[in-house]
Amino acid sequence: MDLAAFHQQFREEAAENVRVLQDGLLALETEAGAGQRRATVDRIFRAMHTIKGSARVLGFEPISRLAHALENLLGELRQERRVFDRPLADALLRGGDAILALSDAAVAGRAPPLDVEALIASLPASAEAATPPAALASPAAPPEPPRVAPPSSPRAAGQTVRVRVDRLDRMLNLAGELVVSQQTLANHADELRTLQAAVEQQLHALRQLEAELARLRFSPMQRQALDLRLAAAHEAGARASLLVQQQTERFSRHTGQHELLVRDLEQEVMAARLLPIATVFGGLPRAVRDLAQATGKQVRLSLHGETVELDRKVLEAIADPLLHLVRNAVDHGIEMPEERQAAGKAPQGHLTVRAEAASSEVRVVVTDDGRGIDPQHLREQAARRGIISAESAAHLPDHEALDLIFAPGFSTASVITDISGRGVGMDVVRQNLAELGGRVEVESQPGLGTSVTLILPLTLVTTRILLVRVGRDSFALPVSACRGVIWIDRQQVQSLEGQPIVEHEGRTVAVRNLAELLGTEAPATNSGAGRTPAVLTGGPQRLVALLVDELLDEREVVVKPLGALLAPQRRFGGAVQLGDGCLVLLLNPAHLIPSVRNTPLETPATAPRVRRLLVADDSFATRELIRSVLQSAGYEVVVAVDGADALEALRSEPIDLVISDVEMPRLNGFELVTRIRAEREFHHLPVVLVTSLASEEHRRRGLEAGAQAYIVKSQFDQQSLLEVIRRLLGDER
Amino acid sequence: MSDCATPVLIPEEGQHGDPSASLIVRTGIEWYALPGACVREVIRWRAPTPVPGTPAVIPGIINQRGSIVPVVDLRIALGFPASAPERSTRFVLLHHETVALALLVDAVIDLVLLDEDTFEPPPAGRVRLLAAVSRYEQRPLGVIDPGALIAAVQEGL
Repeated sequence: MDLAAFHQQFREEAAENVRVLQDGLLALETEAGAGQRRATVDRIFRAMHTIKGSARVLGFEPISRLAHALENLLGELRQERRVFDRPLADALLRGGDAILALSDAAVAGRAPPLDVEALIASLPASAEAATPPAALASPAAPPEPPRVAPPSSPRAAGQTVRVRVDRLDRMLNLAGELVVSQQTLANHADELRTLQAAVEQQLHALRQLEAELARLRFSPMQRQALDLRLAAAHEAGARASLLVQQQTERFSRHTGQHELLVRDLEQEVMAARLLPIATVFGGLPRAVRDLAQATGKQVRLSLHGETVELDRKVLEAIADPLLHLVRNAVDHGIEMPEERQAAGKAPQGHLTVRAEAASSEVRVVVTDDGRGIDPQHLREQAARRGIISAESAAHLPDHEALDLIFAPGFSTASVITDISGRGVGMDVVRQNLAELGGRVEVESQPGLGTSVTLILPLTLVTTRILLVRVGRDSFALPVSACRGVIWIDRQQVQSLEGQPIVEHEGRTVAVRNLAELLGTEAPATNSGAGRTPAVLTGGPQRLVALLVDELLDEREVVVKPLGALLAPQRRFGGAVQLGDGCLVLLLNPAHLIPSVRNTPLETPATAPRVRRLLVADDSFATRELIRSVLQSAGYEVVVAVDGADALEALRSEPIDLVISDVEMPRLNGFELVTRIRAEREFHHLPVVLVTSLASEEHRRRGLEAGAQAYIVKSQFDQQSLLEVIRRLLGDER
Repeated sequence: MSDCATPVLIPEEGQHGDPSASLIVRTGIEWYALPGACVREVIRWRAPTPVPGTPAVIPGIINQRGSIVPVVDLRIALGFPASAPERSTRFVLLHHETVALALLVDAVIDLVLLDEDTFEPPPAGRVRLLAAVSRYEQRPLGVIDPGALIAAVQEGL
């Protein structure tokens, strides 16, 4: 028997039951009513018992032993031979976590990731051991609980089955195909109506012919023969007309009915993918509790709108950002109890997470009543970190200053704490949301609290797109990534830092040609005078106008993934099938527009055309050294941490010259040069290898691979590097 | 050496191939074998939608019953220049692990059972796509390793 399917099921069931345990324990910490508490203890006892039983059946011995030990503790709690206190709750929570880790490992066929015996030994000692044995008349084993299947069974309404997500996806895909073929059927109906008109025309022509013949002279014999023929023609024509009419009606009726069915089917399949947001909220109480405990803060968490439904993929994608926001709120937002009291607030902070459905969007709002964010502090931070100049920071209005927390590399905590300051910044939150077609907004009142709103599409099944034409090809842009459409007059285009820009509503907007970004054709097509449509995209700090040849349409479509083979490229998020069956690629604007890190548009222009150099080195120190040398020489610098990263950077933005280390992970310098030379568009791109490998052999290999220059680190001096770069860039010209 | 191949039926559109059989395809003047286990179906050529920014080995994507499938040109993967489609040009839909692709070949020749005992290691040189070399109708026959093919294509992305 193949147990794999059962293993998977066991893991899911264990996760569900551990969730019951966690929720129950957290409830016990607040619940007061004795009856309610007893019901909760019963529930978590049963959950643990189920885990134990299933683990035993499947031969997951360590899990069943641990579950047994936890069940004993819960049994004692249930018989009121043990008091529920924090150490017990902590021990049980730890046990639950261990069960999850163990079941993950067991299902994956790995060795247990932790020492089960040690964990069991660390659990609070059994009450029996403490009680004199004489006091126990009954055997030590806890009584068998009423045999109840996993906690879902009390829900009587609507039976459920587990369906694999890929199966749902395929169903949805097929439903989408039906919609397209429905379009084809509608086209057929139109053609039938054209046919009907043609038949009518033919009958009309026949009648004209008849009238014409009536005016001519014929012998009675001829007349009779003609009448006979005409009558036959009339009859055949009338029959054809009737048949065509009947068929057209029948077909149209059928198509109409079919259309309703297809639409219903599509909606049902879409609905099947929706899950209540409670699945994501589930982890929050525990996170808040642990974090409050670790930081010594007092926090009350309220969850609202747990029944709001969202697409499974959206839920998956917001789980981490939401957790991050909640951690942020507890860690940075809510003050210590003394501080709160000093500010005249209740010592216990209040954190609210609320989900609301609004037409095609769902808003998830995380609100705290903590210290809020001080825009002035943000301005100073941003200026200090070089994200924007001190001068432009001073001019930022408050709401735009708040937006700075989403800037890459920005962290407001003056001390990076181990809790929320671990790499996932607000920039990642914003990026995750943008990839989903959502947004994130922040509002704050210093001293009163902060509120962060995640705005999410209800479903990822259909996406609203803008269809544009570039040369002979059509492309789709997600409407969620578009901030509007403007018409750009060639005369208005100015230049800043060598980049074309326009002024739009008092903002500086970079202008990029979509054809050029895509490399589809020479940008000469719309370089003449006159007005060109452009799609505004990018963040509020960095607006970009994408020039296109024509705006075709805006519509709701099903976006299909491009598949595993094309997953490494990020420029296209999928493909869209139009009604006529042809495919159109969906652009991913965030990955289309080269990131100009550290050089926001506010920077005043100095040089007319700044050369952009790419520095690839896996050593942070070397990378930064070279970067500072080059930057002070007036070059713009993009950095990459290895060869593969460098290739990605090369593909995403125009680079004038590459300076690379040789020894790097993933793709070394020699390989990088070979790859650069292999691509036609980079054929003439100069590459300088800077390395500690001083041997003649390496120098030869580097030059053979196609590097223009080879500089050894031990002989590294700024002037010679800059000279080499100047020479190579000069040669390029 | 005589032929080590037994003919079996070529899968029609929508049918799965025999997992133990190999699909013999032609590219230029060279013949290759594709492992039947990963061949899903053979379909007629139709113009793929190009994906800007991808290497020439991926001439575009096609829609096969609602799924987007990238096309991989076997000619270019093997280092030949691209050529215009002909009447015999076919897409062979391959599934390997999580990757699905439509392999563009100049013709599909036959579906046969190859005797694996006759497989020889591929000769030195440019053989990164081959798992082995066999013979078919007095010709050398390269047995394509789908994993290596996919890795080679993805490397260029």
